[in-house]
Amino acid sequence: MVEAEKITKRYGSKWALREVSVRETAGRVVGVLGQNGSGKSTFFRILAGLARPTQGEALVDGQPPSHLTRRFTSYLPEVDPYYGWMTVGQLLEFAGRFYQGWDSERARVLLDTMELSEDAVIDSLSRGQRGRLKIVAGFAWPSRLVLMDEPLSGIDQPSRRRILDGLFNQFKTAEQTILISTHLVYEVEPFVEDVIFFRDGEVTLQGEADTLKRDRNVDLSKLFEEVAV
Amino acid sequence: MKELREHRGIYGGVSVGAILLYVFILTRVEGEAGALFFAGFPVWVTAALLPFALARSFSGEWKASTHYFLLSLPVRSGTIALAKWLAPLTAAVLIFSVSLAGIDLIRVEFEVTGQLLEQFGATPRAVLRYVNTQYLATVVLLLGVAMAWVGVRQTVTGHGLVVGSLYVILTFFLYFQFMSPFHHLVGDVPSVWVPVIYSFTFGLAYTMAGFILFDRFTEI
Repeated sequence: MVEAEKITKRYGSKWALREVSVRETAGRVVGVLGQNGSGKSTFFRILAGLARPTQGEALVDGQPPSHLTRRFTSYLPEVDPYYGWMTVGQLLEFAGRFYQGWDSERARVLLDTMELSEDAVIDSLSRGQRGRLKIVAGFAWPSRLVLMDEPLSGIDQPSRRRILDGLFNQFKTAEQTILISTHLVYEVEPFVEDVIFFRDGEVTLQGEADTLKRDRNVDLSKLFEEVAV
Repeated sequence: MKELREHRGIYGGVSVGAILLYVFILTRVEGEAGALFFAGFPVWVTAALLPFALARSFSGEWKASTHYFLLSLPVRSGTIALAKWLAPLTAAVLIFSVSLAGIDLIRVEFEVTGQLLEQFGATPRAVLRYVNTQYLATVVLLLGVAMAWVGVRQTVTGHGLVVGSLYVILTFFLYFQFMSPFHHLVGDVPSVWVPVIYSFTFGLAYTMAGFILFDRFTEI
């Protein structure tokens, strides 16, 4: 589903990614783990077709990322990307026009789960509520690839586990591939099947989470400290 | 629709302003000079405002980080640029339509101006129609310049002042450089209409260049 072959990204003299190679099959939940500034967001932007690699090649479902692959890709950026003047309902209606298979009923269920009102103006939402709105917009249609860039930032700690439980147990479809980036490793540990560790723009370790934990006899948080800090 | 709604202040404001202006001309202006002035001049103010509104609609997206949402939609970046360009153009076409219709509805008799223009084979209302068409051509030209500027800024990051200065110089240079060859190219067209057609053509060419650059080089 996702392939990256030695992708490098440079902004001026700064290297954001260096020869990153990744291969993930469909249906997996992948933790993309690294500290802030380690290259996770750049990697996601390349997969979403919003940035081009300086060198190397990225493929999503066999195609270079573009507006065509965005037809089946949900990209949830780390920033708050929505128009403050819109209501939640208007935003979902606007987004729904662009995606085939947008499910308004599913969006309503997601809104209930995330405790959001359709009538709320986005400017009036807290940071955590805006984070939850991104999740609603990202899961309200049957995308095949979900790129969640630090989706838990701003969401209060008690809600995080509940939200992740709901997402992975209630809303994730079997064929959906989810890449979730975070530095809060313990939050996603119960859900991820594969992990990719980033440090200074490079992949330092990747593989099946259970195998890596078993082979090294440590949990993901400890592994994170060893290879990503 | 999202563009018109989001920037309803500027686009709605100039459109309503133009409509109110013509209501004023049609109901209150009686003097010949006043009618000519109001029907010919004030709408031109919007020709300067709309390109700035277009450029601001792009910079506003970047400032508010909403470009993350907009550019992640499953459409080409060029389509987004097209939608943004259509919003001020819609306002300009509305203003143009109102002003064009208003010219025929003005009750003022253009006696003095009519006699003056008769020797040139023209009428005051024909001149006003020409001025308003030139207005629309100028808006298309300036929107094209603004759109190309947006594309250039996506292509060349940094050195804003240098790039901006070079862009303005190059735009003026190209505009005047091709004016004469264009005049020869459309030799059969009455010369008074050549600047109008040239402004439309140049504006659309610049717009296309802006779309292509934005589509090709926009990155987050």
